[in-house]
Amino acid sequence: MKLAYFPGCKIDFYLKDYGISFKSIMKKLSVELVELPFNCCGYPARNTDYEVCMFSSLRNLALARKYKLDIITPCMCCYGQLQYASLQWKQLGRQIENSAKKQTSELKQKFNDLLAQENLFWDGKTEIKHLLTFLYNDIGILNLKKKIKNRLPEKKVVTQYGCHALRPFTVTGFDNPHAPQIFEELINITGLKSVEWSKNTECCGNPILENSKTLSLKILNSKLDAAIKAKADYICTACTHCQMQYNELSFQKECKKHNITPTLFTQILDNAL
Amino acid sequence: MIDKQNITCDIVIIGAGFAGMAAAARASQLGLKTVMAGNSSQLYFASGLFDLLGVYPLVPGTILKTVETGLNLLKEQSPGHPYSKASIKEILQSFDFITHFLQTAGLSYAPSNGKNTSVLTSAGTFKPSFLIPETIKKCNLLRKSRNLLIMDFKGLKGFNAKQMAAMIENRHDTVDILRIELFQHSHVLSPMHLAAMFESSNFLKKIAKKILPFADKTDLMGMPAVCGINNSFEILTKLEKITGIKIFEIPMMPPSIPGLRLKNAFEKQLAKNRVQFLSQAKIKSQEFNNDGFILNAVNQNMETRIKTQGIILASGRFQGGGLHAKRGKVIETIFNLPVYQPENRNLWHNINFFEKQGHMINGAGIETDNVFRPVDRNNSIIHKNLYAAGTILAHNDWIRLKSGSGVSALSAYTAVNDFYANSIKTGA
Amino acid sequence: MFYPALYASLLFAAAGFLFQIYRFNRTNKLWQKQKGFKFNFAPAFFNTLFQTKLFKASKTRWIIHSLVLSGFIYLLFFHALADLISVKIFAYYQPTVDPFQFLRNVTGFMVAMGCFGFLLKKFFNVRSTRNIRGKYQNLFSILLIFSLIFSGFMLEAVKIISEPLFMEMVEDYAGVDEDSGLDDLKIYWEKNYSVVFQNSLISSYQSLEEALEEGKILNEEYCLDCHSNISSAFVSKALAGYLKKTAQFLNSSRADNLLYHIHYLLSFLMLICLPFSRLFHILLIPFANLKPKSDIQDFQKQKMGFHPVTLDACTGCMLCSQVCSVYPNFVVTQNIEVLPHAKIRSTRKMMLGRHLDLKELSSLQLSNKECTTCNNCTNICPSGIDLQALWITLSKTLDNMDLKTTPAHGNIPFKKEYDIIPGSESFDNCVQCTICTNVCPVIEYSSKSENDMTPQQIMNLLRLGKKQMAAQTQMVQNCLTCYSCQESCPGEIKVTDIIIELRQAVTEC
Repeated sequence: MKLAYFPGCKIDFYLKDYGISFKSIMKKLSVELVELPFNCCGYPARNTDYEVCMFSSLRNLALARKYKLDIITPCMCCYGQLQYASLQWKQLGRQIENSAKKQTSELKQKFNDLLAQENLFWDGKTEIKHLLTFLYNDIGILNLKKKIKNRLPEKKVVTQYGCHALRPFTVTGFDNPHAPQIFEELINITGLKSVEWSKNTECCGNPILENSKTLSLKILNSKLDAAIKAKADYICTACTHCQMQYNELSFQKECKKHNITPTLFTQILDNAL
Repeated sequence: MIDKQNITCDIVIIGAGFAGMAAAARASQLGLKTVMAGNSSQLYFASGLFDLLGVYPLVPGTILKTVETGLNLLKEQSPGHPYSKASIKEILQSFDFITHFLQTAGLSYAPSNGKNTSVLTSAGTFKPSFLIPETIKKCNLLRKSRNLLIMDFKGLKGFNAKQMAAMIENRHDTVDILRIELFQHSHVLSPMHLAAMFESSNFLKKIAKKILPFADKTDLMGMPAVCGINNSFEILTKLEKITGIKIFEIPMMPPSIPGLRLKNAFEKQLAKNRVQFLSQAKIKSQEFNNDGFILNAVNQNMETRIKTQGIILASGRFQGGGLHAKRGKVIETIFNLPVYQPENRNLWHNINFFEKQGHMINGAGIETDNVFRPVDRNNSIIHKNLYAAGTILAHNDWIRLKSGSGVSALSAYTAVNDFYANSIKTGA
Repeated sequence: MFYPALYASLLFAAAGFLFQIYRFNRTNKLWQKQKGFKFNFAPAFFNTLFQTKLFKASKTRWIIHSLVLSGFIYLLFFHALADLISVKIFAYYQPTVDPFQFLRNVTGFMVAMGCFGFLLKKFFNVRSTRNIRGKYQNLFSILLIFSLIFSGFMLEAVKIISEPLFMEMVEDYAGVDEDSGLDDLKIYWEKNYSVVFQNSLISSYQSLEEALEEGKILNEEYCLDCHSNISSAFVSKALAGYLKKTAQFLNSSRADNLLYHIHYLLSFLMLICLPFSRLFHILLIPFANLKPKSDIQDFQKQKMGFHPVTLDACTGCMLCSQVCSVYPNFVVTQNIEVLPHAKIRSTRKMMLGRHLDLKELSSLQLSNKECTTCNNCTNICPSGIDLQALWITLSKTLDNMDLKTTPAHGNIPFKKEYDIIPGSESFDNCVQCTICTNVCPVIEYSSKSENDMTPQQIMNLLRLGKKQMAAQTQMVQNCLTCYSCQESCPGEIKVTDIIIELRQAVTEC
């Protein structure tokens, strides 16, 4: 299997481990990753400019399409944004088919022109996969279970789904948005034991870390209380931004006191494979 | 240009309200491959209390005590009512099933013994209900209570202890009020966030400290229904242990926390039973033949083609979108099933809102056979595996009868059971 | 004239160097400095000499750069500093002897070609990024190098054809005069060394072959030790061919002397300009490469630091902008300030104390906020500048400067007339059931000063038509965009999307 690897902006500097372990897993599953000159997924620009955010995504999607590859990303925000853009694009298309709404057709034309400057074109056929859905659906959880070589000790793990992949379901189609399951199931096949806690679908606070740090950290620290209550050993993430938030130094210190380790799913799986 | 996917399954449940959830619960428990389509957020408006039959005969101001007597009378007087299609045993069975199912998800309901309980509401009034969560159960101690304490929170809308005390103080020797101010909280105190705070043991201790001064002079305490979201009964018991006072929750206006607990419990358990949930999907088109149905479920992103053997239509009434009122008549939105309804629009409503007879439109809905399969005007079924459940059923004035949950549970339970029995018979 | 000029320019260059360092360090207090001294010697050495990073980034540019670099190194050490180096190493060294004559031409040609390549590359870069402001930035340095090389070639060509020079040399070194075969030698040199004489002997001489034979013997005796055949000086020879027509004038006016002065004065000019032009990168690239790049530990401990002087290691190659993650932003908005090379320019301006006005500063701040700190530019930068550290410290510095871009009170103009259209698909369905507020983490954890409104109130404001008021609430800025509200809304209102739209409507770009 061959996929275009979309690491997202943050992995290279902030979370090298995620990239390394991700690649290692894919190697063990004999998935070939192709690195294309992708740019920002467009998610940060969503707060400032609709056109910029759309074009950033479209350029990535068109680039992958040029090589006839589907995109896989370890980051939930990138996943959500690319899904969002691809859906928006299709809706732009639909509106044109239905009624000649001038503004939207102009917008679509503008994106097409800009893509054409780089000899790109997007027909809407790039599929976007997140690490978790890829493992669960494409590799298959039963298949993956067979490939586990070292069963890990039965430690307790709580999971943190990322918001942007989970919601809105109508855009991302990730998993049941109210009671997601796939992360827990993936954890369980490694031998670790996923336990319930109240925060698995709640935001980590990272999006407002820069603008209102205290509020962001309050949200983060509430996770620790919940994790202690669930008697967890690990808080497991599968999103670059969530893990970056958990890597916040003050939080790390608190975690150490309670013997809780925020950890990346890829590192867990890499050890088990 | 939309993404497409194909799903094959045994049964599709259209609608994610109480009836839909109940049907999915039963279907998944029977091992059927189940798909649900709908918006579960409607469940936020559920009270979390299960009514079977609160009032019968319809005399204002009365409360039905023993359910069985009311049911017998109802069956006699209105043979079209969904309850008339089943025995009392079957009705109670369906509730048993639901409570068991919720028990496995960690939400416990108090056994009913066939009697309605009067539940104190946040308005200070009493409302009959058949099955109530364990956290509310102790409200039946109110009659014996001499010294009552009511706790409320500053900033929590729709719950005022002072107002409640004024309503019920003549029933007790003393009614004390404890108002708690949470300083870190600012403009609004929303019930869900308050309930989330109760999950922390530190917060619980702080609350207990405030209650303790009253420990000697009261024998029962009522508090708004915000005592935790998950494991609410555990938290309540813990609070009782620290303070030494018996405590019960008082349900509030929607969105209420008991409703949220119900929603969470259903969703969690159904996900574990691998029910596939197409959130916010709408059925855009359908076709069927003898073998089964093909549905097109559409949400923003995905067009899902579902091939299925059976369908439970639990799409609700007007608010849920199952029924739609056109200028001249009411129609069913998905299958365009015949809808039982008053002959013309003028008869829909009475002039007086609080008319004794109720409004005719509330009896409108889908007419079915005994296992809740919709029938046409000649009383023959539309399709052997198409069922309707919940409030969409005709002759079911559930708001006045206080029978919403009961009808939903019964119809969903019976319909799924019948479908299951049929499919075993045909060997599918 | 040579030595005074040399000393003066050396003095100038040194002073200029010190001045530049001082200028950058003056602004240093604005920039957090990295603690501790660590050096990366090996990568610095390889990257400086062999441009390993550039090789990875762009092969054509590497070839161009290597042409200039290697050519120039040779010329500097074995030609300009010949008295100090070549003479000492090679006993037989003479500038007009092969292989030195040949090598000088080859390397000179390489440098000239490299300069030409740079110009071409620059032309295309400017076209692709429509970078009008940066158009003339490197032109000076490139043209300076080119004219230096060109003057050298000209000097050599003029010397080749020069009769007076020939006569001087004959007088000094060859024991021949009119009687003992001077004419033979002249004929030989006119034919083989392209000297142009006032009275050409070749056309009028009768026994030409005899004379050439004689001349060859004389040449071997007196000249060949110091003068290889000029065919190895292929560039100058070709140039000399073109100059033949004007040779009489050039010879009589002693153009060789003039060009000689021009040539060394140009070198001195280069020396003086070294600290003040893009040429400064020659000295700073080793320095920038020595410094280890800041990493995630530095970031977490808030010890990101940037040494301002390394900014001058930037050669303006624009590779950073080509790999920049927010390049599509530039494509859509045509706002060049979001691209790293433009930000470097603005930052440099700011550091050098040339005051940017408030508008420029806030534009820099906003553009820098677009940066996703993806590290792409740092990875590719052939000069080894720690750009990642620059963006992070820059954003901190600008934040500390307290540039109020938006008025605290009063109405912010909407960027565009956004169609937050009321309608069945928008906020009109809202029944104020408060579920969105109930599930909102911001409401759950914020205190009074941190947040002012709830999502449900925002929807209500919109229903009342108070777009302005809704857009300026803290709630809109605090929104985590976690989509909890949107997913839970019984009316299926796109609460989060509407809030995001409100954000877009007021953020100025």
